[in-house]
Amino acid sequence: MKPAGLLFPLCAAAGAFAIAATVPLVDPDMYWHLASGQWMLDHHEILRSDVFSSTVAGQPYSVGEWLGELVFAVVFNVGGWAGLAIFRALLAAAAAFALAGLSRRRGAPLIAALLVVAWAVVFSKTRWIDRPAIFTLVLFPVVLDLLYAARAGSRRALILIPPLILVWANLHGGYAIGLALVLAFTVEAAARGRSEFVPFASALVASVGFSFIDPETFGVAGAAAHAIAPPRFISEEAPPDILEPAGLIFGGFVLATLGLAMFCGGILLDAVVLIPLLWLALSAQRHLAFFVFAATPYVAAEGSRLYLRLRPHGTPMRPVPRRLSIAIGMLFAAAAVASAIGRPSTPDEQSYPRGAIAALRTGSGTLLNEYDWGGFLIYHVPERKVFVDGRLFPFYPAVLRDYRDAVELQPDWKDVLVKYDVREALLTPAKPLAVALREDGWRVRAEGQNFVLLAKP
Amino acid sequence: MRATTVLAAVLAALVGTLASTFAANDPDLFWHLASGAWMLDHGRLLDRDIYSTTMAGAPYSVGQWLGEVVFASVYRGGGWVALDLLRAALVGIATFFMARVVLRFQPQPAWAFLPIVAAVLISKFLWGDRPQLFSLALFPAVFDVLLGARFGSPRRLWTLVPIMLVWANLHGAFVAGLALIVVFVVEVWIARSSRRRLFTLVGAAAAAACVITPSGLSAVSFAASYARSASAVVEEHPADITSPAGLLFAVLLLGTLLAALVADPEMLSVRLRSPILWIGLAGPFTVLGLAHQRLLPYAAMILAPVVAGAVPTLMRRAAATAPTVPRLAAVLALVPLFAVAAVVSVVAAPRAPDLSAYPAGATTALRQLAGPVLNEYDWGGYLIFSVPEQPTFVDGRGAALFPPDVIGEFETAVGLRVGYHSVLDARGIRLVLLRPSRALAVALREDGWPVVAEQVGSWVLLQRP
Repeated sequence: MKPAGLLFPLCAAAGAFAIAATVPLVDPDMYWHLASGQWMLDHHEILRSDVFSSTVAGQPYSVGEWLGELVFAVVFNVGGWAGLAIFRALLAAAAAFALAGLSRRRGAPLIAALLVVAWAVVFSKTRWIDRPAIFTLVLFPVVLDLLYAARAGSRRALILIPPLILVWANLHGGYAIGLALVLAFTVEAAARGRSEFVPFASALVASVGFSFIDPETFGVAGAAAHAIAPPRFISEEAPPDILEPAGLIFGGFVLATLGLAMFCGGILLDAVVLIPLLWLALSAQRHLAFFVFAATPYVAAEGSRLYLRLRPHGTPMRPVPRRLSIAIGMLFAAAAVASAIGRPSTPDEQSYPRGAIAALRTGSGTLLNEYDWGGFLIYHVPERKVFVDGRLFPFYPAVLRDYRDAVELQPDWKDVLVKYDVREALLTPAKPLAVALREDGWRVRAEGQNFVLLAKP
Repeated sequence: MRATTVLAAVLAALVGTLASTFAANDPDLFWHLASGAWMLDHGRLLDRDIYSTTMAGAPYSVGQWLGEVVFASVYRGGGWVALDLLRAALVGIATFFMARVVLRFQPQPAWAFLPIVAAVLISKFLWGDRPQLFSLALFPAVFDVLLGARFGSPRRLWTLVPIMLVWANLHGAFVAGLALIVVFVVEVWIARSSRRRLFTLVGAAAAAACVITPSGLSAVSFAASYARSASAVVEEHPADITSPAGLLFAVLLLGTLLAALVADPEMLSVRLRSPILWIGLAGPFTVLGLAHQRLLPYAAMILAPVVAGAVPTLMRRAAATAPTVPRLAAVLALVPLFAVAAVVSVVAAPRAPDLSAYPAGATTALRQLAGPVLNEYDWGGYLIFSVPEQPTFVDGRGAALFPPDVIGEFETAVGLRVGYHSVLDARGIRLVLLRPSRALAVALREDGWPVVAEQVGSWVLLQRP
């Protein structure tokens, strides 16, 4: 790529960095990922069984993200919370860089690509989270960009894909979507002829093979099952809500894709890539970004083509003058530097029971905690084992059912407390169980605006 | 007569007959019936709450007075069987027009069949016995008239004015019909159609007719605000593609996208006649369907003809034209069919509503005991109908009547949130009729509220000690 051609991706990256660096560290799963990574660093082995909970202690499990957890723990050990914020911003910048390159793969002019990428980057803000899932957000546009390059004739791009899948498979369970991309391009290549098909099929076989080189795989089958039957009680697994800001942008991309397809048509590749991703996006909010990213080159290219059809005699865009380019680049760079300076240096723990930590350390017995606070407790109060936490899979379905029966005060709630010999409960005050336990005479050991720690009398 | 019209009529007879076999069980049916009956008895509109303790006397409108009066009249005339037959008729009308619209763009039954079936199955979401059934029937009817006027003869276009006048008084979703008309008007101007002035005139007249309701302009704004708002009512949640209706809708949406991406644009343009019209229709209605799952049927009715018309172009199938059949032959075939369908419907229609989801066993006790009662939201309508002497706390009139603070009180109480005692005390609640799994029911039992009546696993009636 020529230096001038790099300006747009670099500006997109700097813009994403500038926004991402200032986002508070708030993800509830960040803590248990950090704790897991730290455990692996300390013990020099992969964490394969539960060491954090009282309910599934010692039971084998896998979240398929061992390398991602290690990377996060190393970054944290080196740079602390500020280091995590900068690392996240760098990953968001990498995603935006790849997305900007991707957006012009179908020949879109700069202005069209810029408009579409800006919305896609703003949208992706919802997925700039401090956990291994962010690697998937970066690797998805990278792999897609490489696949487009390979389709355009770059064999070197194709060779890079299997090793990337190998790394991805160990970083995060979302690698299955990378394999799906390679499969989609292979199917399309098959339709174009044998000479196109063989290299892609080879890359697919190699990628699938490499994905098995993972000591703690979550598995494609597990990912597929998760996608087909998402656990709806987790907010990011809920159906997309297009009345929300992120859902609205997603809806805009869907309508733009549908409208442009009806006007301008497309190619088989668009169908094999976009249709499965749209289905995936409609299944759960956490998957929206994949469709938005994948639709970017199509919407940018066909949108500009439609514009030219509607305004064939419109003034063509002139290239941005060199001095102005440099000025714009410097402006974005300055924004990125300013954001790096203003990055958060501590996590935003307003929604967590910080005020209960001291009391928890002096308490004893089985603790029943809010699902969303499990990771926080694993990290801050490792001496108290959690009842449930964001790892989900080890607790599914039996422990989660018991947990929900208890906190929602179902008829068997007392049986659940007896079954697990619960001695303390750390809940939001509005939870029915918290209200009932107070009335039953459980002692308030600590209390804040958003939490109450109750002890059995 | 076109063979496709005959086929649509056959499908309507079959689906309508099928619809008659379901027992009435919609939770909102009961308060609509009670409201309609009140208006028939009093000879005036019901514009104030007379059914609840929490909003007694408060002015409100659900914008469906005529629909309620029709339902109540039918019920008075023929009981539950008559309501089953009314549902069958409206579902049949809806199916007829859905099928006719699809067959306009895909006259070959083999290609049209699956999209029609998908649209019909998704429309089952609206088969509940309440005024929305009128919208289910009128939406595809208006769509069919508009398509006929746009691509065929415009002679029926003026029928939209009386249709919209009646629809606006029957049910609030008339706004969906207005939206259809607006899209067509915009499209004829963009396409510079020779009928653009006619469409504009009819559209303006239809819009004016929609204002001739007791609510006037506010009926339109109420419906528009409804489309934008989030709600706790399940049917107003975002579309979920892991549900059967959501999955079918996703198939239609993805089928549309597949056809649009892969088919030859020129061939597609010929098939759909005006891509810009379908963009204007599919866009807004897809958004509405994704936002509120109860609107999925309208979106499906838009997408089904696109899929039916466009998917065969992927295989480069030539467009077919609908064969015609002699009118007499069609009548001779259809009259016996509809006669048989009517007889089967009358025989098969359930004689009573399905009350398995309601606390029917609690009504005797409720009549004898002093309230106020705190009841499940979904059972409010049933109580209004069956135990009118016991006003409800909340019911399916939802946001049209109950402000957020009353709904909040209800949720605080049944969810056992902090302050639930205050709600019970402030409202003087003496009876609680809830599902046994509600946190409040569990807690009150443990607090010593005696069980007055109960059906294990279904409902429990508790009385303040």
